[in-house]
Amino acid sequence: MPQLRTAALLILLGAHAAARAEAPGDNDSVWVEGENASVRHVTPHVWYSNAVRKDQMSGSAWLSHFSASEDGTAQYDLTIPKDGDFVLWVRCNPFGALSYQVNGGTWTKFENSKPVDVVNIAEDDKADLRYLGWLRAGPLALKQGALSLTFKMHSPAQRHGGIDCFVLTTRPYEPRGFLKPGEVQPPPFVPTLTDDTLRKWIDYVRPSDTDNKWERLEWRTELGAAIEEAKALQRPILLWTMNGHPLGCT
Amino acid sequence: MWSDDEVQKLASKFLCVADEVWGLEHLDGKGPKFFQEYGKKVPLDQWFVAGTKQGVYSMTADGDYLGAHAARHNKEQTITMLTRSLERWEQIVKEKGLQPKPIPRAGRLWERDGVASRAGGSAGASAALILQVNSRDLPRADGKFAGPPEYRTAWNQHWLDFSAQDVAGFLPKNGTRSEVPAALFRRLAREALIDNVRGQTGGWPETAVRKAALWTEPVSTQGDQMTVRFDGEFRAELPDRSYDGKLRGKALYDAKKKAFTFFELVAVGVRTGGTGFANFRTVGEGDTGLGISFILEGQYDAAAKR
Repeated sequence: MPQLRTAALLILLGAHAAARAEAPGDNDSVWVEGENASVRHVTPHVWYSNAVRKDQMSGSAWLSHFSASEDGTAQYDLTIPKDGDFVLWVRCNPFGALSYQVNGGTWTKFENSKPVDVVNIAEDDKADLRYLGWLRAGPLALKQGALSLTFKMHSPAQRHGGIDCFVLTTRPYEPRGFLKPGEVQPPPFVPTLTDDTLRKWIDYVRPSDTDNKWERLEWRTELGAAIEEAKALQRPILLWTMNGHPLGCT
Repeated sequence: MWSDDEVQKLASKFLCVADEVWGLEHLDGKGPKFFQEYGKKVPLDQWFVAGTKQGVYSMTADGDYLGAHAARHNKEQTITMLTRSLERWEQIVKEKGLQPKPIPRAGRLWERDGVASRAGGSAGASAALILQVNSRDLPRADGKFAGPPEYRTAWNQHWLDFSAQDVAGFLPKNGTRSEVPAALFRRLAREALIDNVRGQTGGWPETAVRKAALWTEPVSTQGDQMTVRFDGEFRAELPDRSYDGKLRGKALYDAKKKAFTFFELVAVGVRTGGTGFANFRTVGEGDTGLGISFILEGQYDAAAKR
């Protein structure tokens, strides 16, 4: 665990700016960025909140909380475009405890045993608390008009939590990164192979001279055999291990 | 990462060893015993990480701890670990008056005995053809790549070995266009037409294969040299992943040597899904193009002179 440093408690009570609801061009969905809370009571943390890959986040930002003493909350003032049964999808830290509350009602905890599209957002790749994934709740029977939706972050460990974005939608929606309902990734490009393009694509795929520099380290392939050699050479050993032999990669 | 100049500069001070981790952790023998004893000297927070012993470790030849970084590691983490390890090592060198000697060149994994069985080889010393297999993501039409930026230059490599009988299977029958034996191509395809660009991915089970065909046809013959052309297709799918690709290639066969002296085959297609954390694909990046090449290692140096 990193050194825990106390960050300033950020309380923006009464900041009544409405959360930015980005509709994807229809009346079926309301998309909201986590960082656009109308009212927030969160404690960002220098490591948990900032040592993360923001390029993996919608809007390159998130709302996050990491505190030993208090739960974090974030309230969003929304406009629901029509009456309907809306599914709530939230892109959040899926391994913490997160609950939601509609119009000041009872708190409902997100079921997080099967998060969707989980990604490690740790800037240093460590497998720790810094993840994003999608959790689902609902459907919620909502009425057209104003709605207050509040999230509470209350994980056992440091009450941590983070919200990248969320969407209320009546449309079938399969979360994919931060694509909004109706959006799709650009299609993959697959070149046409001919006698004329064969070499181009072989050369594209196979390693370049730069890629192949790893071979200069003269890797030995068995630790057992290398021990005596290291003794004779009076050298330390650098061991690289993988499931499956690293030099005949799985 | 190992091709980075800064990493190379530090790593070149060590005798570098790559080995399979499950055997080191669980089996008997000199290497495993050494690794297991070394593990007792590694700080707990570096040894018990995320349920795996995959990683990078440094040690003296007596098995004393110098450094460790289990699980995923990037360039910066590796540089930090190697730097600290060398600081500890330099102290030992001073204390013991050691005089490190130059590190001799290493043999190849597949030399003489073929691709080692623990690296997936099956032909062993009788291997008549060893193909270097590489995989890499293809760019989108706009030149961009999906997924986190650190994977945009990712590639992977392994080898496949083939017997003399297999080699004959790659040649046209009766001098005309013919299909490479299904068992041979399916073995190649199931083992190699996989998405291992970012890491571990198993092969395709036979039941996952939807279509698989590779054709070989003669292009020209000059003395003992026959040039052949390959084309084919392959599709495999499982609930969590799929690959759908086309293949094309060219090879030069020396009838006197009974061997391919030049071989290039490439598959390009679309991959979907993933195999969990080990291959680091995310749903969000969507389906992407995947290229897989098969060549004789080092052949392009000779080809350039032709």
